[in-house]
Amino acid sequence: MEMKQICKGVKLCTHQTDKFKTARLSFSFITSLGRHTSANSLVVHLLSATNSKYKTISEMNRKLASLYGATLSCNVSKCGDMQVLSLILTAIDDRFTFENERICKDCVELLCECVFRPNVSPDGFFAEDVNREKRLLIEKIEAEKDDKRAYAFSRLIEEMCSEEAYGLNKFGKIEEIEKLTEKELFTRWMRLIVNSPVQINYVGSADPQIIEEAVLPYFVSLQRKDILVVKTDFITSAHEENTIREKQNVKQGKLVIGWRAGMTYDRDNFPALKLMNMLFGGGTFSKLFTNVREKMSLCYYCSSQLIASKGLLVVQSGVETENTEKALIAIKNELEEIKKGNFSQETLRNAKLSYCDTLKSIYDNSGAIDSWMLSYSVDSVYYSPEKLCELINAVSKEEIIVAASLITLDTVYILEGEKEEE
Amino acid sequence: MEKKIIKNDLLAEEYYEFDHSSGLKIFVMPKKDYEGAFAMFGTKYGSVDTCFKRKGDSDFTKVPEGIAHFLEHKLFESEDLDAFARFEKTGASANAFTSFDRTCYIFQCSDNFDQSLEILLDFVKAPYFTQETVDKEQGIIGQEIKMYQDSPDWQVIFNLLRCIYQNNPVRIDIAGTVESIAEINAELLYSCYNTFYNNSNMALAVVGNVTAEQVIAVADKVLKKEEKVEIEQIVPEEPENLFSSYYEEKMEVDIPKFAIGFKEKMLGNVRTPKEIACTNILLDLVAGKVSPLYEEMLSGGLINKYFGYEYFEGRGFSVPMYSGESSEPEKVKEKILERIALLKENGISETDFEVSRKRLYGLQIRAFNDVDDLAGNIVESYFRNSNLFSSIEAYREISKDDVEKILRQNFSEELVALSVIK
Repeated sequence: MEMKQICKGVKLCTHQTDKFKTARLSFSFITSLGRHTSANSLVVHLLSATNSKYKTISEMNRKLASLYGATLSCNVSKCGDMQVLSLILTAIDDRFTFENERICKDCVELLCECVFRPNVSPDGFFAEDVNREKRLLIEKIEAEKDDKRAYAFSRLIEEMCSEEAYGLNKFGKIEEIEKLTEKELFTRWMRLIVNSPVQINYVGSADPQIIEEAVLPYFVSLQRKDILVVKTDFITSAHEENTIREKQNVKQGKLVIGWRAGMTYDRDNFPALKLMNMLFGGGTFSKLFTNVREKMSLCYYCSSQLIASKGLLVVQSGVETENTEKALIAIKNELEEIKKGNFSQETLRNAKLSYCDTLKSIYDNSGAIDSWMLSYSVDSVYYSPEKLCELINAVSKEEIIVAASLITLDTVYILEGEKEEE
Repeated sequence: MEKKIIKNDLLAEEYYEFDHSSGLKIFVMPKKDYEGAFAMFGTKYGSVDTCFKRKGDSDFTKVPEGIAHFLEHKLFESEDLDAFARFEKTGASANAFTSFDRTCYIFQCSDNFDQSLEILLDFVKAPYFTQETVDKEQGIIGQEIKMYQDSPDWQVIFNLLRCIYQNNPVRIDIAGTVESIAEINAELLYSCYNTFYNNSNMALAVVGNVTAEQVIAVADKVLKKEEKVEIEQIVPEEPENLFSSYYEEKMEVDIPKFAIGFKEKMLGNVRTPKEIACTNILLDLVAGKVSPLYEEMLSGGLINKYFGYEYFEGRGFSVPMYSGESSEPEKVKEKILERIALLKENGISETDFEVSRKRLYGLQIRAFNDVDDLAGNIVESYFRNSNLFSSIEAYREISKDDVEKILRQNFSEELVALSVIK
């Protein structure tokens, strides 16, 4: 993996390989979560739908189809208090076209046109496009409620981080999206391309030089300046425990628990905390899987994750409503066990083995390489998967116990099924 | 042992096929430039296999719904250490899944491949069920069933299958019901196991940084020769007409979900790669992203980004299907039928056909990127009596006439069903 600054606030990360049959190019704006979150996410959806050359959905889709089913999608995600707005293009390698057509350059050009040459007039984006994308984005936000597991998770984050930027929905708020004007969106787009940090990732067989040469002229003509500084606030410990209960007509209840992990920045104590999370609920050898799920048969799923970009530890589980309290006690108990050091050197060794195995396999998937390059270089410290594996292997049992001792319970979210009436 | 080479020059890919002395079919696709490897050990046995006997048995056994999936869960257990605990020592991540027509056990790893493969082969070939362990599993699977019942995306598809088919066992939930799994006991599990987990009904595929010799050496060590079991099945007669043309269920969703499907006449056991390619092109031409109808419905507010299609097919069933979200599902159905009628009347344009063919071919190429997709497709294609490259070749070969022929045969206005959740 190679990384270089190609112009003010613009990083190009590339991984040249011919082992994949496809190439993947992603273009990400990195911005702060806050008052522009809704507008930013609508802009990136607009950019991925059409551009000044392919002005309608059909024209754009036919162009992509003729490039052998190239895909163009947008992805909005949160990384700490940052909102990451990505446009992602994937296409098959030139080697596999029917008649040796060269499609790689066309694809890079197409993505650049989407970012820098949207379908706009001096008055802004067109109402027809804006209205369509507004509706689609709002329906996407609404659809999040239908997946109860994801819904319960996002409700926990919303409640737990209600005073922080991280508590915002990554797509923004429906009421705000409804009010955005064509002109405002145009200004937002300008701000993104001129002022926000950008990261471009490429994984594929082409010479990275081709990507740089194709992209650079667009930036040069922009005169980028006042590059936005993005950073994340970390709350190291919880003030008091909060419990939120909701009722819905569901057959299976959900229990989601959030802790502050004691981190002061995203790499703070990361290897020890990562391992502590794995022992707690991050795999089939974990305490949550073997005890709460298998031995006690309390839930269908019960796992934990460390959100290092914000210093949070979260457990998600699906439980029968009448078992909720039992499960909550059992889960808290397992964390106490780790704090007491009640885990074997062998389990720790297995956790290291399992995580390092996963780290190596990143190189076998172009999407995983892309995400790795993005998430590990949005901020200052970059680790290669090999480097992180070394750090993981150096962690001792004592370091894990110390890391666990800094974890404090913040919020419990419970989604209960309503009693069936009849 | 004879090594048969299956290759494709355009993709510059090949893999090997072996008839192992144990009676098991083994496939190996070495990929030197990958870090890891993926193994899949599968049996041609899924939720649709509900009534069967071994040749020589006097009576057919009718088994409770969901038993194939239940058996999958139980195989991970043994008298001492369960399979997950064994994989912990190698660092591999293991899993399993049950579909309508197959059950597969998998692992992915970067290191210690031989040890992991030994565990995989060993645990699948060493069943251990007692009444006590069966009772415990009923709790866990009961939770899993409830989770699916809360998923509108899953329910809308199942309800559609129940509209289309009157007797076909694809109507049954893969995991069964809380009531049906209560009937499962150790004896029934052994009966299913001894019938379908015979080496002659299974296949092993390994893709990644391994050699064929490595795989065969482990198979030699673990697998014992088994007498081939001949399985007889009773497949219920399926009438030509629908069970019902409409089904509606109430759940908590913001925008109604729908699925529209067409009943087809099944001549053979499974669809051929050519039939599948033709049907996918038709689905794309009628309302795929490149079609004028897609843009009309998207801009008109009738559908959103969750609209898509799938040729839902497997052993004994095949349903071309559109699904998505809409406040007016009936209208979406009408639009699709109008468009089909138009194509039937006017024929398909050569340009449109080429655009869709290129797009779908390009999407097929993607399946050659990842070791897990490759291993999965090798096993699946073998169970269908074709090979890994058959579908790529089908897209290269088919003509507009082939597609028009399928259009005339299927997609009948009288045999369309609509399932809605609102």
